[in-house]
Amino acid sequence: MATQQFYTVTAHKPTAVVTSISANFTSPTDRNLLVARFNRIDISLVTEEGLQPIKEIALYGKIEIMKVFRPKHKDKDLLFVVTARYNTMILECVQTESGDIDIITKAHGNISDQIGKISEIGAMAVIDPSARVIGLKLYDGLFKIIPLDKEGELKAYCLRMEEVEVQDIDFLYGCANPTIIIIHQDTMGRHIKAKELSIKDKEFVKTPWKQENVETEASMIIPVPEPLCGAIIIGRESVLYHNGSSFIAISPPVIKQSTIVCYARIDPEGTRYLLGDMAGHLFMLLLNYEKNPDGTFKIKDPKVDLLGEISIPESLTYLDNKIIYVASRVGDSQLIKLNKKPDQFGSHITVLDTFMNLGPIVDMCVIDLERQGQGQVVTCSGAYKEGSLRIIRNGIGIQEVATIDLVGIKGMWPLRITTDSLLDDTLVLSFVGHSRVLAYSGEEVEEIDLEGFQSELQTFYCGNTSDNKMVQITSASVRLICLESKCLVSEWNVPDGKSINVVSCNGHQAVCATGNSLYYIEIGTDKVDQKGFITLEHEVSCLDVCSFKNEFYKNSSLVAVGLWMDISVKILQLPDFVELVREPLGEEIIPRSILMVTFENIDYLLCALGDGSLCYFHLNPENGVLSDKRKVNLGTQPTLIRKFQSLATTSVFACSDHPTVIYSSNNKLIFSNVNLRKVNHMCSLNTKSYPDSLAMATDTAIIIGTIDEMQKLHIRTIPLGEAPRRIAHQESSKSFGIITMRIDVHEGINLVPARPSASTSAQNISGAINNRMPNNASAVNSNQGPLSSEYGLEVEIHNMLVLDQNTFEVLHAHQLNSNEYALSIISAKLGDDPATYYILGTAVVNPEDQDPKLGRILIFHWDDSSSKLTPITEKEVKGACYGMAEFNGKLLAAVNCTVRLFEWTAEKELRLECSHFNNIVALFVKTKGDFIVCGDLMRSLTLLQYKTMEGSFEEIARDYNPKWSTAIEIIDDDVFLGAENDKNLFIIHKDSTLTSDEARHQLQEIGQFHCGDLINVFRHGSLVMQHFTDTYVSVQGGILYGTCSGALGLVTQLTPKMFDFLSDLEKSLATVVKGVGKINHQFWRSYHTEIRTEPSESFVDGDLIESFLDLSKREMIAVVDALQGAYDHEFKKIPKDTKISLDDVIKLVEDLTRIH
Amino acid sequence: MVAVFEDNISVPRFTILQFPEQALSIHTRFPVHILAKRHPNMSIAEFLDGMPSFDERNFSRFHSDNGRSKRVPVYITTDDQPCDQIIVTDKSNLLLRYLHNQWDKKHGGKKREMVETGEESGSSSRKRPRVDVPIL
Repeated sequence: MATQQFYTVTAHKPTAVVTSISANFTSPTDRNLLVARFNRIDISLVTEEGLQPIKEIALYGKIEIMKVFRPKHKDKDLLFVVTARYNTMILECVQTESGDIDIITKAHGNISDQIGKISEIGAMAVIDPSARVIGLKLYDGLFKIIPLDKEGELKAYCLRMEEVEVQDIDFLYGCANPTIIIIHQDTMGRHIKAKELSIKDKEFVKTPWKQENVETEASMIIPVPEPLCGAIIIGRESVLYHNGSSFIAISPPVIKQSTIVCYARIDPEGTRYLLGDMAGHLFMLLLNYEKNPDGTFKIKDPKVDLLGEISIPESLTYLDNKIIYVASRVGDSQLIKLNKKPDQFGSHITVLDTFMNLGPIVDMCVIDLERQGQGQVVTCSGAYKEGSLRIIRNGIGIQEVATIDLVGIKGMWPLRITTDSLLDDTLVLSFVGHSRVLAYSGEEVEEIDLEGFQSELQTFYCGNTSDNKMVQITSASVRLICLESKCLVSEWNVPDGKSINVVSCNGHQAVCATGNSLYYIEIGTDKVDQKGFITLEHEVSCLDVCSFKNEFYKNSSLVAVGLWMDISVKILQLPDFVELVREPLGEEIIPRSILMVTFENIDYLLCALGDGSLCYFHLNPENGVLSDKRKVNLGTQPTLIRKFQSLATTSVFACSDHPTVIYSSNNKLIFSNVNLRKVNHMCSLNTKSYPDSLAMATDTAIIIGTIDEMQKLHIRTIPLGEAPRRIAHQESSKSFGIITMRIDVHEGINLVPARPSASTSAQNISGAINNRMPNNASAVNSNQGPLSSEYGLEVEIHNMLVLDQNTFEVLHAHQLNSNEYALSIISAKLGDDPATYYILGTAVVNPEDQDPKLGRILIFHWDDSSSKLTPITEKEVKGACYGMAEFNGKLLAAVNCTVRLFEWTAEKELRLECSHFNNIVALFVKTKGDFIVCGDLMRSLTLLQYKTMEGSFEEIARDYNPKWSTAIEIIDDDVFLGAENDKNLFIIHKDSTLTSDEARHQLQEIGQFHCGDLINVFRHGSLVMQHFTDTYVSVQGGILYGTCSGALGLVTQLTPKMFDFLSDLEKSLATVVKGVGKINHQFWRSYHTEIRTEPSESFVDGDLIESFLDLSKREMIAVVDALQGAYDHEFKKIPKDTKISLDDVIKLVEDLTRIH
Repeated sequence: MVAVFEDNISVPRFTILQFPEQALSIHTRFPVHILAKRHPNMSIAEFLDGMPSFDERNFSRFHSDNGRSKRVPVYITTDDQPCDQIIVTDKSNLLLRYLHNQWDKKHGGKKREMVETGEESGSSSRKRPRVDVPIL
């Protein structure tokens, strides 16, 4: 059996926010914002300029709870964190001498119990205001206490809590003993109760007060600090303040639309609160009071008012000066400011900043629009009003600002003609046999005649020099032109009337080549002089001149030369062309462009070859020595590399059929695709109307654009205003088919969309648009007016949308009946029919039915030329159509517990051919050849084979270990990948070599790994261009996945050799790197369900591997030293007792970062 | 106490506050006030005016990064910090703990130690002592 081993890594970190808090964490005077996302805590500092990110802390666990508290007599807050697997820690931040911060794990431990029913409402933790104890509600009927005022071991213990269904819990202020207040529910309704705790007796000793039968949907407790004390109870429709002896309640109409889910206390006195609800409304709550002469307080009516709309909040954090951080799990998080004056829409909110969140990724597809071998991912992200599509591509985006149609450009340079300006105002263009000058005035551009400029010849270089002069190098001469007097000042002509064919100039030095003669020209203030000459053994193919300052500020100038014939690179020193280095490239292709560049204080030599590949070296400017040669493939055609400045950093643009930007990050070179087809030349441009821009010449035009931040993944958001559920791409009609769900509200006899969204604003609308009462009962009563219980009722309305693949415009919305849910969509060709169809699977949902009893398969044809959606046919099925796939020209559908195969008849109808019944609920189907893999709700995977002759399914094998699958994918004929509800990844193998039938019928578990995040979708594909993958890593067939917390990940196969080395490296890293909170890495990645916990198997944790690059050199050496085995430079295990070099390991890990 | 309703607001549904009659008898009626729409801006203004400022300079020179996220340094350490405290769970049975407490209260905590040592020696007990299996 071939071993199957995998590498999994996060390509885009999780972005959904679990919670946010403000604290004095990094120092007693620092005001920090702490944001928890999946397994990361981001620490920022509130400053004059805004939020300044300080540090990102990764934990070996999914953060479930994060709270701050201040121990007695301390001036700084500590952080309390509980992970999903009940690893608990108390963290302190200390400043190191170097000004950095260090995170100290003050206390840690696992607080899980082996018995107990996990609370359905989720884990809750509350901390006593005086920091005496932490209370945890993890299991029903138990309340766990961690005492804090102890030295040494912190012994947590459980208290029995007779209230089983606890809605919310918190500690009250101003109590002699720690006292909690709870909202709990029984058959009578919901009640609040204060319970006093005796730390000594480890018991609840008394109930100081209680109030039975508060609002039936009371859900949130806000404890009020001293002097008032007591608590505010938030319900669905009311706000109640209770302090044990008296209470006051209001029922503000504004809060009734939705449920309040979070609050932020604004002032330490506890009079001002912000409330956020599930619909994204932000409210203020003001609790005013007067002090009576006897020292008691007279509470005024609480005031609640709507401030405006925000992202659907998970938590709200008050930062300072009316600025609030809105943390969102289902949408982008925001930084908002509250204004006294409402805007024209009555909102008191200004959004200052948004923080991108892809979560939850419900579905996605990988497409390659440009057919460049590089995938783009389009995700269905967010929920409710935050629903959106996100287009994720690796690379750098160029935002086109202007284009000028021009053919045949051979070169271009920016120029400053106006002598007193710092901005460029002209662009010099070079063509075969002539040159042109374009001048910018505002956004207009016009061709001008520049006195002294040689426009009858091809220009090889043009640029400003000092003293208001410019230099132009044509095929015949080097010309110094004065811009004030507009005349030629000095000229150097090529001897013997030869013509220059390669040039490099840096403004004060020029190197020109004619054949194998090389001239060095110095450009003075008013004279150009030849200062050097050499004849080389071969013709020059490319040139670069660059001056370096050494540590004594002495200039040294080097020339890099690429030669024809012997395919080598030379480094020569000016002025005498002293040969320092000759480096054969060891390639068969001629170097076409060469460049010396300094990134992050490291000097490089880049050399682009005629086949689109790029060699790069480290360059020592003192002696010209080249080292650490690496090679990547950028394109397929001769590449031109140019330096440019953007956003105050130097980058390199590789002009080719696959334009690439090269920059440096963490001292490593990053090659990033640009979203342009083909670029021949480029230069930077900084004019008044196009500041900090780039000009790029294609075959037919000049594109002026601005460049994005240097980031690896480029994400574009298409807001939908409703929740997308499934997506399918249809190449033939250049469109996307998307299933969405929006909320409509009963208003009288009509259903009205709760808000405008994609499906309500489509160009065309079809289907069940005139929805009225979905319910028969209400139809009978409709003549008596709307039933009060239905008025305001929210109904889910499902739509199928057709979007343009380029503009993402909603071209069509097809609405389903109000009780019909769209569950699946694919684009497929069926039978011999040449048309490509959108196929939609639905379910009719009746609240009385346990499982849907009815569903439909609808087939549509989208004609992109007439923008018309034609319903072709529909087929009723006896259940919910959860998943579909095209299968050898037929349609495969998972309907309730069955897998069904439909034939496409000549009459364009679906006819059932065969079925397979052996599932609880079949959710997913994937196909390969004659094989079908079906993912079941709780019975893991089944492998079916379609018998063409018999026209029937045969169950080949099945995984008999129960797993609640959430996504499945086929890796190859007998290896399958799955994700399950317990947040694990697993690999299943069909072993055909086994002898007994029974054994062969069992799918073997050969790999397992705890991802920690819920994976909703797998898709074959890659975010990087295939040919970027270097020789070091041979990864095969990547599978991308999308998760609930908004992460994109990659699973890819490793060779056994690579797996052995990387597992060793992983183990070594796990021992050398000390995880925050002292959680064992092996524990974090171990396969974990409620029933079993087993070590991870056949997987390498790429996130840990890549953290290698964040280590210091000393630490890296420690990791390499801690490797168990000995390896040669190709990572093959060898018996010898030698150490692999650190550089090899760095290179390997760098390569691994480039596969995603 | 009488609830104050505005004329233009429809009669609220009292299904939301289900206090039984007994609870209400003391306070005659739960003082439900429909939030007056009369001075909404006044309360917002009052609310906003009283918002605290920890440092007036914070956000004074705010500028948005326009989504250009700066690369945040990742915290990673190889230092083996000494850890002061370990959080452990008291595995003792809730009922036994309750009984011990009761015993202590009755007997002033005198005889318990004997009982406990007898129990912990385990030789006389037929029950197997609890063994904690490590999670991994």
